[in-house]
Amino acid sequence: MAAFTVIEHVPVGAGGVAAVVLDDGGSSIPVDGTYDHLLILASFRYTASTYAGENRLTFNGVSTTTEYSSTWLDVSEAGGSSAPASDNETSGAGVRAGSGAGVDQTANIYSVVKIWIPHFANSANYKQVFTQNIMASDDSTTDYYWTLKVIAGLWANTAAITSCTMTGSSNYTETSTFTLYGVKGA
Amino acid sequence: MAVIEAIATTYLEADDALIEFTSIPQTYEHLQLRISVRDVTVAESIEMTIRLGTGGGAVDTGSNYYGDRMAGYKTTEVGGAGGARAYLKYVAQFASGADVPSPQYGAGVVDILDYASATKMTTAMGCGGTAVGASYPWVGLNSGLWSNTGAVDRIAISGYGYAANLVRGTCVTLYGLNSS
Repeated sequence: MAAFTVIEHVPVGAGGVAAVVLDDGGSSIPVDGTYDHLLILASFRYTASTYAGENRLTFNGVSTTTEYSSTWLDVSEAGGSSAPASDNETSGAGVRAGSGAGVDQTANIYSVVKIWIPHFANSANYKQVFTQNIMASDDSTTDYYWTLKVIAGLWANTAAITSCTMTGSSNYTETSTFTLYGVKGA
Repeated sequence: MAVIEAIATTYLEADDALIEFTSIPQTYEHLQLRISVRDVTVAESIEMTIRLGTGGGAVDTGSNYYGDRMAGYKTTEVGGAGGARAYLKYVAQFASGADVPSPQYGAGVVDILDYASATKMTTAMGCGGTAVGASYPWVGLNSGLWSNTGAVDRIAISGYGYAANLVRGTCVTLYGLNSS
């Protein structure tokens, strides 16, 4: 049996979209052992007039901020020197899920995020999320901005994950893509 | 159809300055390089360098590559931008160099998303490290940007400065990730 399965692939259409729901084509992600882990890969860009925005990831449509916490190590630069730093938050509108370029960045630069959600289907434990993210720049704008980030996120809820919602700080542009993979263990 | 398919693997039987994947199929959503690498350069940790090509031609040798890094060695953290270069400098900054014992090879993964898009500049994310070294055992998360919206059909990988040899035993596998 193949270890990886595409559960859903969402190419953002004309006009953009504020949030992308990743599930099984409108139905719940199977939590019957079909998959053991989830993986999200996204290539995205925002429509807002900004250099950078930030994703939030929520589960099962739950928006209770006290259930979402994040700890991150990142480095970024806005035309100046840069040094890695770490920080955390104990509540939020979702776990932090990476930064992305807005329209003030050079056109056609898209940001990348890879998100692992292990053991997503169990109903006993809180759900841990691990994110890697890059927002690259060609340094051509006056106040260019880039960032690299790793994030540990926690959803303090024991429910099995049946849907994932990525929400940007503004709309995602057309041609942004989001893919949800199911990963099966042996 | 498997979601992840191995497109090609190169294992160096002798030191060589270049590993190249050509005629990459345009049928996948994303590409991924899984790398075990050692470089002849006198250093503990050093970068592999990468150039990309499109349209069936040679790789781009112009100063159209950018990239940033977030890394740590021993108790020191570093970050920085690469500026315009003639190759991706930071995205695979996880090769072992000649200053560490010869059996040591650095390891890392480079994801190249939406490589076949004709509207996106190609963006790559690399993560890897080298665990042993007196001064510079290295781990990092890195980015690469090719300022070109052409679909990637060629990837060339070299050592430090896009000149140094990669050591025998260096191994790179190119995978394709499907989206359906």
